[in-house]
Formats: sequence, C-alpha cells, structure tokens
Amino acid sequence: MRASSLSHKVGVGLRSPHYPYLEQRPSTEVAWFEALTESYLNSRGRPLEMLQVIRQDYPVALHGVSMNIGSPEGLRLDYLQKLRDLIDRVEPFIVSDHLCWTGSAEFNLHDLLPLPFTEDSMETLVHNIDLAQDFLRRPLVLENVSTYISYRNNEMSEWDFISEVSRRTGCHILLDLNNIYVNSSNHGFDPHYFLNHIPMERVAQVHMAGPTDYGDFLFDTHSSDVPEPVWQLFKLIAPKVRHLPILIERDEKIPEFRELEVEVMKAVSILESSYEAERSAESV
Amino acid sequence: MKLNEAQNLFKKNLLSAQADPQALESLKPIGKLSLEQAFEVYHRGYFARMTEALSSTFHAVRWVLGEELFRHVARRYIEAQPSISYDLSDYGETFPDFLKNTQATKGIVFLCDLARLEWTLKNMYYAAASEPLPVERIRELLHSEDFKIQFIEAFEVFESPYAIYDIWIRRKEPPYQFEDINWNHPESLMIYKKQNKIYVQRIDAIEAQILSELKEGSAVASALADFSSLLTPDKIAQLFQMMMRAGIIEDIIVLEN
Repeated sequence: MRASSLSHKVGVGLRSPHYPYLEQRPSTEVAWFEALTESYLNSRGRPLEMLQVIRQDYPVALHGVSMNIGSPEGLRLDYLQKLRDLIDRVEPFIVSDHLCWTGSAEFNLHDLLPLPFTEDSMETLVHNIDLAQDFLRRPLVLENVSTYISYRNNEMSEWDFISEVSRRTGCHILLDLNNIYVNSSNHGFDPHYFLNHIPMERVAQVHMAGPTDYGDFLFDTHSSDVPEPVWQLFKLIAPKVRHLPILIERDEKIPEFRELEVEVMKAVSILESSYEAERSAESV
Repeated sequence: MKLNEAQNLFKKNLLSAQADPQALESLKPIGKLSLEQAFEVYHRGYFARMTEALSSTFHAVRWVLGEELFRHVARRYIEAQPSISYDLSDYGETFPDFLKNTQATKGIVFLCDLARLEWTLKNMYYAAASEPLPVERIRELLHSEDFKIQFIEAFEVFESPYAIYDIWIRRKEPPYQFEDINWNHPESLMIYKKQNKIYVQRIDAIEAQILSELKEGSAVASALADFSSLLTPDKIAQLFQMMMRAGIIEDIIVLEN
C-alpha cells in the first residue's frame, strides 16, 4: 500500500469500518492517518494490528480525547504511561488532544467540555501540559473544541486563551476549522477574526469536518462532508498552513474510504491553488 | 468560582439536564438556546455515547431486548454506573450482572450469560494473538509423566446453563427471532484466537471442566484424575488433538517427580 499523492500532507482518520479495505494495502490519495489514541492504549488485538499495518506504509498521528488536560485534579499517570508505551511502539509524528476537560477520576463524561477562559484555568493547563510534555518528552498539540455553553466569568476571548496557553507552555495548536465555524455560528463571532488572532507559527496541524445543523445551533458531529463555510476558511488560511498536516475527520455516518479520498483531493487542490495564486501575484 | 467548583457545577447540570440557580449565575448558553436546552445538548450527547458503547459490545442483548427496552435498560445502567476508564470500549463490565438483577430483564433468564459471552468476545477482540507452541514440540512433551499447560492469553472456557451461542449467531436477524431458538439446555464453549481470528467451538461439559482446571494451573494428571471413570484413552487423545488444532497451548511445563 502506498499513498499516491504525497505532494501535500492531507490525511484522514483511521476508523474500523475501513480496516477490511485498508488491510488489502490499496494505493490511496491519503498522505497520512490519524489514529484515536484511546482505541489503542489497552489493545493488543485487532485495532493495534491494523495500526501497525498502516504504520508500515504511512506516517501516523495519535489524537486523544481523554487526557483531560483541563482537570484541576491533575493528569492520570496510568494514562500517560500507556500513551508513552504506544508512542514508543508507533512513533507518531504528532501527539494531540483537546483543550478542554472530560470529567473526573471517578466519573469520565467522555465529552470535550468547555473551560472558563480565566487565569485559574490557565494555571491548571500550564501545570498539566508541562507535566504531560515532560512525561512524554515531546510537545503536545492541542485542539480548540466546539462548545454550547460559555462562562460568564471569562477573562479573555477563546483565541487569546488558546494563544496564551501555547505561548506559556510551548504546546502547539491543532486548528480545527469546523470547531471555529461551529463556535462562530453558535456564539456569534467572526471566524476570520478568530483566525487573524491565532499565532499561525504555533499551529502544527489543521482539522476539517462537517457538523449537523439543528436549526437553532450547529452541533459538532463529524457526520457529514466538510461544508462550504469550512472550505472557505481553509482557502483563506491555505497559504499559511500548506506546509502542515491537514486532516479530513469523520466519526459518524462513516462513508466508503473512496468518498473520503474525494475530500482529500479537494483539500490538495486548494493547497495547490494557493501556490498558483501566489505565483500569479508575484508575476503581477 | 474555582475551576473544580465550576466543573462540578457543570457536571451536575449536565447529568440532570437542568440549569440550577447557581448555573444560571455563572454560565450562559449559545444563541437562541436557554441554559437548560444547552445542558440538554450535552446531556443527550452523554447518554447517546454511553448507550452506543454498550450497544456496540452487547449487540445480541440489544437484539433480544429490542431497541426500546435496550435503551431503557441502558439508561438505567448508565445512571447507576459511571465510566471511570479513559477508553469507552471498557464500559459495561458489570452490565451482565445488572441485567440479572434489574426488574425489566430478570425474567429473561439467559440474558446475563449472553451479555457475559459478549463481554468475553469483546476482550478476545482486544487480546494479543500469541504464537502457540509448535505441534511437534507438544507431541514430544506429551510423553512426559506429568506436566502443566500454559495457555495463550486469547483463550477462554465459557459455560452456561443456557445455550446462548445460537442466539448470539443470529443477532443480525430481524428482532424477536430468538423465540424460535432452543436455548434451554446447558452449553460449554471454547473461545480462542488463532491467526488474528476469533473462533467459538462447542465442547462437552467434561472437556470444559478439564480445560478450566488446566487453565487454572492444575497438572494434567490431577485434572484428568477427577474424570477417570468417564475418560477413555481415545477421549483423552481427542482432547489433546483439539487443543493442538486450536493452537491454544503456549507452553508445556514438565513436572519433576
């Protein structure tokens, strides 16, 4: 199995419905795969075998949902230990999670829940991120999340909060354009303003996905094709992120692998167009 | 409000799908939603995720109960049993016992064992596929006077007073077909992984008991002695042939006299 298009680093999430297809090691349009960390921490069976098959042919990133980096209780060392073992085994080029909290030690809510944008949250995050980065001996990449509730005592905007966390800890930013689109629509801000206030030099990866429109609000489901407003945000930042790994994410209503490849090709085409636009501008 | 207090408040309102006065003071919803509706978004998401996790492991239980009753029972279980693991696929270890004791399902006598079987199969899926000891080496060691058998990790003996394997096999058929299945007799199964595939094989009760004893660490002579009146040399040879074919013997530890 080989990726046929390596000119741009556009990948997809590794999901179990695609295992039977991918284990035939077909030629694909995908440059890399992102694996959900927690699916492999306790596995020595089929999921890990499949990840190792993929790893023979592709770079792999690990993307977690349960580090609970915003927990004032601190991080679970058993989690970090297993993650470090998995990192040693898979040698991912990125290890990421989310800038959120997910529950407590005795009650995991398995959701990406909002943090108040306050100095108190910042201190917790700095402590936890420092610990994780020291333990894992590598920088973390943390993703902005979709939220449906915010805190009245917020002391700063989401973009300033993310930027400051990255500045204080040295962690990188995983810029999820779908989550920016969802939050801008739900909370009522300009997504361009968000993007203009994120230090792009701190961004290490970009995610794109599709939400569900419930009429009164957008819900981050990763259940549909990347919608046009997200593609528009991607076009806008393409010149600044075209050297970075880009991911098409799908977690529900997972289509045939070939359908995801169509979105990969669209992303590659946008990245290539961004070079052409630049060349045209130079010649003028 | 400190961060831990804010998170406790959030969790309490998320689980109840209500917005209490303290939450109204410190939190605000998005757009046109009320705070209660916004918590409802998180609340529904939580129960949907946990139900999906149970449904994915206990597919046959869902088939027997039907969608509506499964969702009802799953909800009661989720309310009673929070997840402490970071991995959602770990959720549901105590679900079989819950099914046995909960009013809505305790009349379905085989349901707990069906759930136990599904939990065992889930664990098998995540277990390593070990390399068995080569058959030639096993044959050499079988001549020893007494020995213990070390089995591969991905091997279980499953016993139930109910024949639930047929129910599990038919879990993808239209609902309620299980009523046609004759499940009311005992069943013993050998479940194992060979070359990355999971196999389920029916065995008789004596084979199951011998394998269970061996798995628990009994020496072969002792495990067989308990059934000496029921075992012929042919039957013993068949038992070892079956273990070798399945590839479940990882090592043989010869015992000194």
